[in-house]
Amino acid sequence: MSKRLHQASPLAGHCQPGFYGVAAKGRAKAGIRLQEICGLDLAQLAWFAGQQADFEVWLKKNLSASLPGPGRSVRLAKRANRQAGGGWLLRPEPRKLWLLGLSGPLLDPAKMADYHGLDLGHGRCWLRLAGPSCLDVLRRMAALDFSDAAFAPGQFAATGFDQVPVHLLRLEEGWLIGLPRSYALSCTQLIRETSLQFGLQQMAATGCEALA
Amino acid sequence: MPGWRQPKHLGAGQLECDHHILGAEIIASSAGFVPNIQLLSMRGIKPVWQEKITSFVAGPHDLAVSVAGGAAGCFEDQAMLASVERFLRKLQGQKAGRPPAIGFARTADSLFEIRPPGKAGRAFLDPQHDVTSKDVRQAVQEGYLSVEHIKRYTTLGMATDQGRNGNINGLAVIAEARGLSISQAGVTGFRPPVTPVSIGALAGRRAAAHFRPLRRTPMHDLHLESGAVMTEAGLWQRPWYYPQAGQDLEAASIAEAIRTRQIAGICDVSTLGKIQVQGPDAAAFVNRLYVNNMGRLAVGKARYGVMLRDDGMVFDDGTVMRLAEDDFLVSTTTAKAGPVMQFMEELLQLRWPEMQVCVTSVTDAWAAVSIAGPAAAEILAELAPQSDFGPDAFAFMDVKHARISLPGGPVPALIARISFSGEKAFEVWVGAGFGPALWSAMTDATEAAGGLRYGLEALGIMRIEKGHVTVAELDGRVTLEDAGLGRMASATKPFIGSVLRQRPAMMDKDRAQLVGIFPKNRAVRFSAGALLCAPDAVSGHGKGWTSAVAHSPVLGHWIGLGFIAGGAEPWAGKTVMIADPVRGQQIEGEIVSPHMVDPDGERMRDRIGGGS
Repeated sequence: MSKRLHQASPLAGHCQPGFYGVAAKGRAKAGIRLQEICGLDLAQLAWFAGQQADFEVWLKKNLSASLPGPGRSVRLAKRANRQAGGGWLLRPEPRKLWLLGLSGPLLDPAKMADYHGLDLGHGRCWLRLAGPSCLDVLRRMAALDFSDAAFAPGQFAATGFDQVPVHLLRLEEGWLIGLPRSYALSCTQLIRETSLQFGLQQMAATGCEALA
Repeated sequence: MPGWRQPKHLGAGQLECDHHILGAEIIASSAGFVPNIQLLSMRGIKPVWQEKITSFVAGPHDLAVSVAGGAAGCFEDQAMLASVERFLRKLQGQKAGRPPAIGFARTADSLFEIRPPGKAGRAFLDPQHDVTSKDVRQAVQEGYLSVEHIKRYTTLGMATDQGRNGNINGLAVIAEARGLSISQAGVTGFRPPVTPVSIGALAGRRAAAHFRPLRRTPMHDLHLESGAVMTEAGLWQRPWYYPQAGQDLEAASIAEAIRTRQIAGICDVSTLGKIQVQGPDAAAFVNRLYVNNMGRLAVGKARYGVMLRDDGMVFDDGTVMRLAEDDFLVSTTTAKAGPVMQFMEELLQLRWPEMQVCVTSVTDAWAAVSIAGPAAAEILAELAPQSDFGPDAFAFMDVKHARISLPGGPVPALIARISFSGEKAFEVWVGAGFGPALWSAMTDATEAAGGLRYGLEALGIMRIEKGHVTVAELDGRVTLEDAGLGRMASATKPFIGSVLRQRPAMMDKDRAQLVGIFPKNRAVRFSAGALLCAPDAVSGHGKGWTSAVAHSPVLGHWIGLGFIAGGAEPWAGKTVMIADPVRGQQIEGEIVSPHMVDPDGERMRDRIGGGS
């Protein structure tokens, strides 16, 4: 059996697990739990004006899923008859769809060629931000309305942290943050520093099964 | 409150009510239900006053926007549902029917200002900025008539609530003071954000280590571990040089350039911008963008290209790879990756929306390593044994998919035979997550062959020797002809900048043009940023300038690139003065071709043997 090389994390060696800030030495509970999620597969599909109806049919046929609206996601459950372990469909731009796979590609790359498939998996680093002080941190990072009414679980947004383009997916518990790989450490340090005042629990990086 | 009587409105702001004193930590006030029309106002829809709900609603407009529910002033449940159903009927092309009633079934008297009977206290309109009705009336009395002026004079509605609590009350007082209706008094415009956000989040951290976000290549930590001295390149940090024991910048970079030309060297080029251009019109799109013909670029080939701005000045340069009929991978300079991506989006969204082209920044998805030097092919052959790197099998400007054998397992790669150093060279691209493993493997293989890693300074030396331009030369003031690239421009197709580049002043033969510069006394060094002057006129801006200078290991003396009026030809055999008043230096120099080493590109095309 051939060996498989795993992607190196841009955060490797830089985020030691532990309690930091006001959560250090047990002075307070951690308001923030931060964890890198490794191994997510990210592919992009794109279509052009006048093709959306065809694309929706294609998507239904190939993934049994509907096209999420802009700023929305569709959760794909793991299916017994499919090797892929589920994931999300995300709409980062009006005519682009992201396939975020939890255990490998959601679609055969040959099929994705129908709609200009592009592997973006190496270009992103994913963090899960959770804990009771999530919104306090996010409000310091991005100029968005993070209230439940405006940003419910399942909603997705392209925004910026300190001028860096980032993507946010609200989970049932916490948020999934997609950082451009080259900025990942710089942005993560910013999130960590912002979290210290609320107490930070830095968790060890984990595989994407944590999101399944 | 139990035992309290309901206050009674006597009209004109007068209330009849009991007086009570309560202790309180917070006083919260509500302006009642008001249609949320901020976004519509920002789209240019004029608000109109609705007396029944004492609020503004969106006025008539011809935008593809329908307003329903509370935003249209329908506050009762049934009316809200009816307005949504009406909207859906309109969407389906059915007769919409009459609009439902707005407001509440039970209405209250308008109360814009509270004046306690028999007391001369203040009546606050804007509880955040402490603006009173007296302030507003005084503003009107002083001659402020427009609501926009009164707002700025009194700060009414300028607090973080952006007038949500007090604006209507203020407008009512203005209207009363001017003897107008609220509708006639007008309303101020709305600005983003609709939802309050912290100014800090908008501005970014911008302090200490986060003054600017730092971009790291996938190999960043490995560079630090190997003792590289880093330098900034935009937001990135890149290896400047890799000092061996006792070496300074000059010694290390010259040693790196020599060894690369003699054997091989590897350089992290991950910072170059990378943009995927896909779609049925991708070829036509890149053809319009670049000055040279990209439409006929064969699949599996790369081509150096230059793009201009609309005004005809050089915008950026880089390599275009054609991966499939409808799929191009465009590389930009490190500095212009963002601006080029923005420009492409602007072209596709605003100028050519009919083109079926999708552009995606993939800079962060790839790790890229350049391996240059006579032994480059042999070293790569060890790492990708299934690929043939022979000169016929892998020709100059070929692009091929390959598998690189790394200790953790094989990984897919894209390899292009392109060269910036002037040596026979390849760029190896792998997924960014495999970058560290690739770098380690290439370092081991290159060092085993007697080669080394090289940094930006050595790359600078080699590109100056070759006369290859960078952002130091393409500084936004340069035309194709100035940079010696005029012959690249296609005469058979239009491209961005193709019209304005032909203005007489842009084609003037006396414009400063790219040249090479030698010191007359080969033992003397000089600097970038010096002026090039005629010997009898060392003053003012001179006739040109030096843009980049290095010590050439091949030629054995200092050389430079720069621009001088008319280019190399009129200065042949003449002396120029290299005047550097800032550093207090003035030396004699001579103007030569910018292609100072291997002008015909024999080395990078593999037409001669290695060694120098």
